[in-house]
Amino acid sequence: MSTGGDADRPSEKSVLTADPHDNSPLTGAQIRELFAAAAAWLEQNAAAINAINVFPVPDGDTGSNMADTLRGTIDPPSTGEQSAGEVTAALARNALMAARGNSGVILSQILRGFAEATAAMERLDGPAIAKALAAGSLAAYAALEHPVEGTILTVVRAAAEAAEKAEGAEPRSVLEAALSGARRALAQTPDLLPVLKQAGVVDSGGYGLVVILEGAVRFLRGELQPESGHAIEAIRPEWLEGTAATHGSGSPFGYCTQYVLSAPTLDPASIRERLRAIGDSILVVGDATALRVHIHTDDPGEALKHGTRLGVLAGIKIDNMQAQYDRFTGDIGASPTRDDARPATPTLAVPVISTVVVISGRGFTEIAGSLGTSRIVDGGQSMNPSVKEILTAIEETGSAQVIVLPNNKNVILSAEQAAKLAGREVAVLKTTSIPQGLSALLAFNEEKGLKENVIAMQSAAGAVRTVEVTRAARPVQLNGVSVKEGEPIGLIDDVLAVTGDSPEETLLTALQRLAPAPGAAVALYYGASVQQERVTVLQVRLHERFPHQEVETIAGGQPFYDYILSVE
Amino acid sequence: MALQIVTDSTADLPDVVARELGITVVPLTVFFGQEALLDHVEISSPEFYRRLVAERGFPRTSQPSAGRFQQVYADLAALGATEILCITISSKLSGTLGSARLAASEPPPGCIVYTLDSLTVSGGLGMLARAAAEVAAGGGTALQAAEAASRLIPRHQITIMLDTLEYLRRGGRIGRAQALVGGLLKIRPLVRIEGGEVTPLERVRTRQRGIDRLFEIVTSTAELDRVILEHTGCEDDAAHLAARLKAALPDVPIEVGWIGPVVGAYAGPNGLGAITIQRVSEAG
Repeated sequence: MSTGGDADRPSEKSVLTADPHDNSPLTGAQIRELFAAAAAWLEQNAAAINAINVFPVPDGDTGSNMADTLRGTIDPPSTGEQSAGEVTAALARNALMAARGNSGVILSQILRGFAEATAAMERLDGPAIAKALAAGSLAAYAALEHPVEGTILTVVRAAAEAAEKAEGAEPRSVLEAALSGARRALAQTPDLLPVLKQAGVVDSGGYGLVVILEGAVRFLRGELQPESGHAIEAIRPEWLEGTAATHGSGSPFGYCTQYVLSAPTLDPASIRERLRAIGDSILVVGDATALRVHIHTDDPGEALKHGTRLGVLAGIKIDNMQAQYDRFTGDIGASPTRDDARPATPTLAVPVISTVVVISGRGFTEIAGSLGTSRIVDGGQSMNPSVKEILTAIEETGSAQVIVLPNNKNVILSAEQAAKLAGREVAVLKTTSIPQGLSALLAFNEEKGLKENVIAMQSAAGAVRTVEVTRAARPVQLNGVSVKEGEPIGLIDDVLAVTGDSPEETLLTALQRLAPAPGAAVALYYGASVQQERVTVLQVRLHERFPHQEVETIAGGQPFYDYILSVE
Repeated sequence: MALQIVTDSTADLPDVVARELGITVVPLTVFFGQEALLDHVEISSPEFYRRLVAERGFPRTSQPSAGRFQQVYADLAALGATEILCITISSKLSGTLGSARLAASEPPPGCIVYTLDSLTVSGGLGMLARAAAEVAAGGGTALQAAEAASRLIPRHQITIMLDTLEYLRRGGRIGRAQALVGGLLKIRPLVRIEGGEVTPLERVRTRQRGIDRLFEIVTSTAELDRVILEHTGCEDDAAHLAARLKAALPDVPIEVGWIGPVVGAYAGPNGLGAITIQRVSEAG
């Protein structure tokens, strides 16, 4: 990938001046240009910011939202002279309408504070910019009911603090100081917000603010060439993986319900006592005339009802627990109760329950892997793994509870033997074909307990009927017909049942025998030795014979069996 | 009326219903590439799914700005509202509540604005807004309306069978439903909205199996008051399931409707959902 150069960034020249700023206080027109440059810089980096967006909703649009917001604040250049205050006022006014997304909304509040602090000013010098940043930081905090640290808030506050301590008094050194302060704070965001740490990213909104400050500094330096670390190159692949991983986070609680209750006389203790019947994590704080009530309950309506009986409610808020937790304890300074003291996000540790699957064939192995199997035991050509191989796989999961899917009746015993030696809780399901094993895997739910999973998986496996088409290893008698060695045979649920002129004909006969009900799921897995053309022909014939039956065709890659088909 | 009810367009309220009940709807925006369309205003549900399938893209969405809410509050106050209750899509699915709240922090003179996180979406949110509007029509206060709406939150459940998890994943709303990914096998995931976010229920191998599960879920719900079936473009399947349910539950009202563009951008086409609503006891 190219690392940059003028050719890659035609938009830069149009917004950045070629000469460094002369360090005099900024005029209205210069401030407008500075914001336009910052907006352009933000736009170029939006993709990188999107990539690390995990909080509060991991929807990957923080960069786009902030860029849209900032772009929307810029009015076209005015014909007459404008004071600094007039320009910042216009920016702030436009920002409220243009704000998109949480970070965009906070950005609009920063601009509002910035504008208020600079309202009467003709030009902006360094100290004025520092004061305006501080006002922006305050306005952003004030706008949020529950400010969360480790976000753009932390970064803007650090930027303002560093700007105040800047060595020089000219705009550039103040903004440079703000930028390094912001960068330091950004690097610390994962320590403040667990969801970031878990994802291995910094906060996306905070990153957006750093980029804006970078844009402003670059404008004042008159830089045409971008600094190192920009746009697409700034996306680190592990960020994307981290972002994906946080999608797994969830809440173990019910509803968090909060309100402020006002009445002439209130008794916190008796309210607490009453609320205890419908929930936990109860906090009732305040004085005899106004109380803040907080409860975790599955019945928020009931919690509100308690309040309405006693007085007037305000600030009703019913929210999901997990996101609420950190903000709330921070907000009222309450120490967490025992029940609250859970990690804010689940750790990516060893799963409580793991699955071990015995399977053979490359396609089947890939399918089992794609369904989240913890460990796969290669059954080999004859589906006959050793007890030791199964035992090793069970041990490698590291889980206290393991479910083993033997997927062949000859493997069940070995699996049970391994289970006895494993020194942990192991359930061996009696799956006798690979399709049964796959259906059992589809029914696995990592949020449920071992017993529940065993029941659901066994029942899913039990609903599967399996056809296996291979060739007779020796002459056999079948329904009075003698089948010679090497001729096609079809087994239905492990019992020799049909024969035919070709493997395909045998399969069709077997499927006819099973007579799938309307809406049944039929899956056809073709073996390692079967060429694609044969599969295509078979698909056409399946459609002719069973026109209403949808058949999913998958490369199983299994040895010996030309076709394995499942009906459920 | 002294109390006015505001919700957002993800409530998927038909225009005529919103007008009749006096509910003000603030639209979110759905984007096909750079083309921004106001949810339900500039693009209808049937047109959205037609384009979703034809253009094979993954539309983005965006919440209304705080300024937009502020304007709506100001307009309602100018018409005489002294209290406004704004009920929005779950805060776990969208930042809309943030805009609504920010605008509420500077209410128009003489007017108090309350916001409520519905913890739900689409027909669930629409139902909360309707309940609040009934309280408003009866001369109730904002707090009474909020209470009436809140009581429905734990009494309803949304279960949706999706054709694919891809739209949820790309849109960053997949949450714990990640666990339902079918890998190399074709599966139909069934998801729920629980605690305001998308949670996994199970995965089935065929569409018919998924529809059968919805039927079982609805018919096994205790104290069932009514049912809303919603779909993302598969009208026939919805009508067919409605007919089956009517035969099985002759006394339970069943509504059928479309899931709108913004929610559809995450559900993807050919999804079918059932919202079961249990009776809310008047006692206690």
